[in-house]
Amino acid sequence: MIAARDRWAETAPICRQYARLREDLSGEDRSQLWEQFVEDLEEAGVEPSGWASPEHA
Amino acid sequence: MARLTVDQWRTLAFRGLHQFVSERGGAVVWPEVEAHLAESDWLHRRLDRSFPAHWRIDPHHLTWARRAHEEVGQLERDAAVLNGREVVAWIDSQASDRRRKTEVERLAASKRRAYRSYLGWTTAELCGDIAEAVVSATVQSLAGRIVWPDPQPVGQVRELQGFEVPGGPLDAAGHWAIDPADPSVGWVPFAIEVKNIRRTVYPRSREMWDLLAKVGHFPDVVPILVTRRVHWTSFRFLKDVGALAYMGERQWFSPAIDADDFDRITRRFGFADAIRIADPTRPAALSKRSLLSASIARDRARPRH
Repeated sequence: MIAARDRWAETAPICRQYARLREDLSGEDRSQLWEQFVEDLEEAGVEPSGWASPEHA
Repeated sequence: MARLTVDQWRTLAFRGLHQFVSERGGAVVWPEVEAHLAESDWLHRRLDRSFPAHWRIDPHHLTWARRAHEEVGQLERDAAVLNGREVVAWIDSQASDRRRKTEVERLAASKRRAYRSYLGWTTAELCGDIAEAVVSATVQSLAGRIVWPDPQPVGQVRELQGFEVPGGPLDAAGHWAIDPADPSVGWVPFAIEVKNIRRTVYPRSREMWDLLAKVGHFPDVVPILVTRRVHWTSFRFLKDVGALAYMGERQWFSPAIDADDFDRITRRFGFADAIRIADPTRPAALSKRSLLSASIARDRARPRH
């Protein structure tokens, strides 16, 4: 729970921005936004552990 | 367990779906497919005894297989509007002779009617509110020991840390004691969104983002998703962004629903974990595991493919 709190403090703004933008997009545009979201998380130090693949869209 | 490649899972899904539609008389509703192929030992029992009994086909592979069947003309979407709501059946489009085709269409219509009855139970009053009450009771059962619950009514958590929750209320909130034996160590605020649905939640699912969009405005508050089924990628995703999930493996319904109708329809579609719960305010309803410890345990989710 403590680890979650510390991580969420870093990623919440990124998640909030993605959540806001995704509302207005669909299809390929939303897929591109997802890729940008993953890149933003990576820049914040998050290494996606197998969940970012388009296969799971 | 042997790891299959994505292509191998897709091939298996294609084959399994064909067999399943055939053995169900040529017409299915999609949650019926997922209940058997993604959530039961159907593969082992009905497709190939050499498969391990714990093998399941993930919903995203089944969706791929459905599209593939549609493309080659083996499966056809057959929709109708019932009581103002579109209900879809998937039918074997290769039922060639007229008599067989009529049988399949009758079966599809019958399944759509039954599934429409089920959908009629997925209202806030008969379904959503029940799950919220179950979760609230569990959080309350931990009150004063591990958790200090927020006093706002269940399903009506409109404020966190003195600010309005954008996008609508959350279902529960509170503070988790870092050391229950010593409150001076501190607290971790959390907020819960309950999704009492049949769909498996993936990282990109709408239900995931209902929660994260709201709690994203509160970087000090850990988001917790409570739902029936969470794909392993979602556990991984939530862990990576600093959130948690509890997979209840139950879809809770009100005891006000007629018991015979409920049993008949949920059994017909294989919804084994859909239950009418006599008293949703009993904490034990969630399970003997606590909500929070179970959430953390799920962090160990392992990928199958």
